[in-house]
Amino acid sequence: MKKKNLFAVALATVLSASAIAGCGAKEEALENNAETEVVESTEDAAEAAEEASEEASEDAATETEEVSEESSGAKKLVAGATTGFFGAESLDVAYNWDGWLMSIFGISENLFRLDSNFVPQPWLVSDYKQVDDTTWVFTIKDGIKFSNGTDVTAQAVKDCFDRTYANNDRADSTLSIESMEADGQDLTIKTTQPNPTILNDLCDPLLGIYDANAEVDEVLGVSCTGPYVATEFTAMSEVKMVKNEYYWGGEPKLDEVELKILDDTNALQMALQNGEIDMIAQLDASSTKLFTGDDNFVVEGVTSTRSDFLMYNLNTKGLDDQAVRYAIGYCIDRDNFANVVYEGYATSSYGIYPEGIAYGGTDGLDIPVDKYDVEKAKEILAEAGYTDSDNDGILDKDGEKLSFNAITYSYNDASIQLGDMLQSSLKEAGIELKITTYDVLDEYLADGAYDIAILSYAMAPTGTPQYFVNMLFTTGASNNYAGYSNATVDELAGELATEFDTDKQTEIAKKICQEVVTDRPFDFVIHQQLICVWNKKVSGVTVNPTEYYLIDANIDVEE
Amino acid sequence: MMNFRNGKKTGEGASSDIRLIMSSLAVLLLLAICLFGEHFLPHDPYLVDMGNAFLPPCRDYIFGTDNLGRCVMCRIIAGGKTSVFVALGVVFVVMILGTLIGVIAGFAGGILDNALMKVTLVFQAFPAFVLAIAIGAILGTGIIAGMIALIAVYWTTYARLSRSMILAYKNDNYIKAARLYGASPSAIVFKYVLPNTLGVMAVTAALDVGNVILSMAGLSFIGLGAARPTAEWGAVMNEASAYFQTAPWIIMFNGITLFLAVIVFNLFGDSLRDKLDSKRINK
Repeated sequence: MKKKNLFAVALATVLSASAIAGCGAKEEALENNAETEVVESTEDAAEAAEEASEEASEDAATETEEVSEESSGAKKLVAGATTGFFGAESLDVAYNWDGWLMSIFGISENLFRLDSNFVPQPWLVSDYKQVDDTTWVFTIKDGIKFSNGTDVTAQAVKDCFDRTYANNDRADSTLSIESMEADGQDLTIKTTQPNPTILNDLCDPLLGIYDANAEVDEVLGVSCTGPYVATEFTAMSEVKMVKNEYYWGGEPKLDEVELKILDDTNALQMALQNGEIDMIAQLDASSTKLFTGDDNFVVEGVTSTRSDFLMYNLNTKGLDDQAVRYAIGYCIDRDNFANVVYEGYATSSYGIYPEGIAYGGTDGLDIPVDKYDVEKAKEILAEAGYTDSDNDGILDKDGEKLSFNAITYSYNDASIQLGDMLQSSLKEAGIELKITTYDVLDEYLADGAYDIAILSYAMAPTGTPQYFVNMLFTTGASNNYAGYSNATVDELAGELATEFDTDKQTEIAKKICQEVVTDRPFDFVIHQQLICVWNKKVSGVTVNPTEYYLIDANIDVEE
Repeated sequence: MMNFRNGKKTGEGASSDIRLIMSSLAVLLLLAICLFGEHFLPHDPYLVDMGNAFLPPCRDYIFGTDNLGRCVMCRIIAGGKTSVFVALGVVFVVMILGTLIGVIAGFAGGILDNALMKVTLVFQAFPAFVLAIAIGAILGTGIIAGMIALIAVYWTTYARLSRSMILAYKNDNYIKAARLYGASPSAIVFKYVLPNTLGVMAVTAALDVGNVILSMAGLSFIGLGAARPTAEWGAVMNEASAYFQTAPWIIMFNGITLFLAVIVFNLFGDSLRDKLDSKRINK
């Protein structure tokens, strides 16, 4: 009797537990759905759920298709990633950031392409020359066609840029053009001011080349010149592609490519493990150990220019004191963050830009914080006059406690862990840190509603120092939410903008780095690697540190 | 959420006594561990020690360590304090609040009764957990927000239950007698009616604790409820879910603990109900 009763209760508990767990999972699925379909947020939850189940059944259908296709001998690559790497809203290069994703997909190409050392190399151009400080002539390669069969001429490129500049505000800040002239395959571009980085700027996927004269397909977007062409596309979900029969750079090795978004990293890893997908792009560093010891998989990481860093709100009492910022710098355990959280797929940073770039690393810089040393932090704070006058474990000076609010991304595990680590070591040094996470930080940063922000930005995706200097370091720069202002930096940034000599560019960039590293309004913690993993069947993958490229004509799948 | 079974005649007073004693002891043990366990922990549950990250269960760390080198066992025990006492707090509040609303509705009758019951119906119209998620999402992250979300979901049971009991007792002769003797309505409620409802309320509450623990863990698991680095079972499982392939011990020990805690409270509630049922039948 007693046993029976116990069993009944246990069973009931398990059932209710699984009911609630199931309920939770469903809610989460709904939430994910809602997140990925922000544009269609009017959809109600029921519809979203219905869609989710439809997708699931579609997936099942796709799997059966795959089997039949495989047996018919078509070479197909299926790759997965999270929204951050594959999440396109449309297939229109000019729309928002979609050009970047279309470049990753292997659909669109630019006039120039960055190599693995961030040096621009001609891509769709055969030749180029600089006529004067502001005039450049680019000769478009002969024989290139868009995927709809139309020839790529200088006029077509001009029309393409005209449309992009009309549709996307970012274009003008990427490359400021005064006028363009087309003559056969020669495109003459006049810039508004001398622009030493024009070739790098032309590598920005926003300036990808597409046929602006053909009608834009509602779903499949614009026709480009890349090795693959989309046949099916669902925004923020998946894209199916076939090889571009007009591709100019040799026949693409794959017949079909399918790219899927899976935001649950566990699901993503398991999909690769069970063979549902062949490749994961931008793998979460903490998952690499699932694949590194396994002969069936290849894991490759290249140091990108993406950095995890702290941004201090210089209007916050306490953080306006350089000594406090130095002390916090000493409390960041960069090596363990790089080696444990990032599993070695990141390098500690004590300077500004990553090593490997001419102006990166710490060579030639006088760096004020050079290790993890909480005792040193305590000394600095004591010297600066901070004491624990009320014995609550938190230091104070003139009645102001060293207690700060940190904000970071809710979806970025690594930055949250950096917050957790920092919270623990700062506590030891006598500084209190409270962490809040948000899906989108922009609003809080812009409003100054934070003390310390833990951020992750690509610092030099086009290879130039100007990109980040103009975004963060100059007074009033677009993302300078720290409120940092240094007249020397502003002056040097002005010089940098018009300096054509690369050695001098590097020299100026280094000077700017020295100013920033000394003032420390930002603390660059690590430089990440871009990690991709694929199974042994896949070959010819190049992981490029710019994060601009992935799928290309050389990727092959062994049958 | 509620799973009332039909009143069951046990007729075995001794065995139900033993069950009640055993389950009470289990509940007391659990509460003692949650309350005092913190002072006997071998490690600081919040101390980040990256050199010891991802240690599998070993002699120093019986349940292993997590991604930041924190002791999983210590975090489970520290989390127990949060999870269990938050659940007890929620149940206490909903019991008082729900009963009060039910008593007012049942005793006042008429328009007030109608209005209060309509409000109750509105809250009951939505699936409980979905409503909790919606409220939690509006209020934002945090234990207090999670508690408010759960209170909003759980009070209705008590309101309806106490109202129906008031309606049943209202016309009993002893109440009529009290009225005749000029007892004030509040005296009637507090002296004669409430004591009668207490048993049923206590059983309902005891059975609800397990549900609330699970719901709170559920909220924290999906990112509502407790915020980092608070050690709370659901929040810890949320953090650990990213490593369930590489470090399964973090989520596994948390899951087992959560399961055991819920079982203990449900057994306690169940045997308490059996005990009260048999008492009533014996009457």
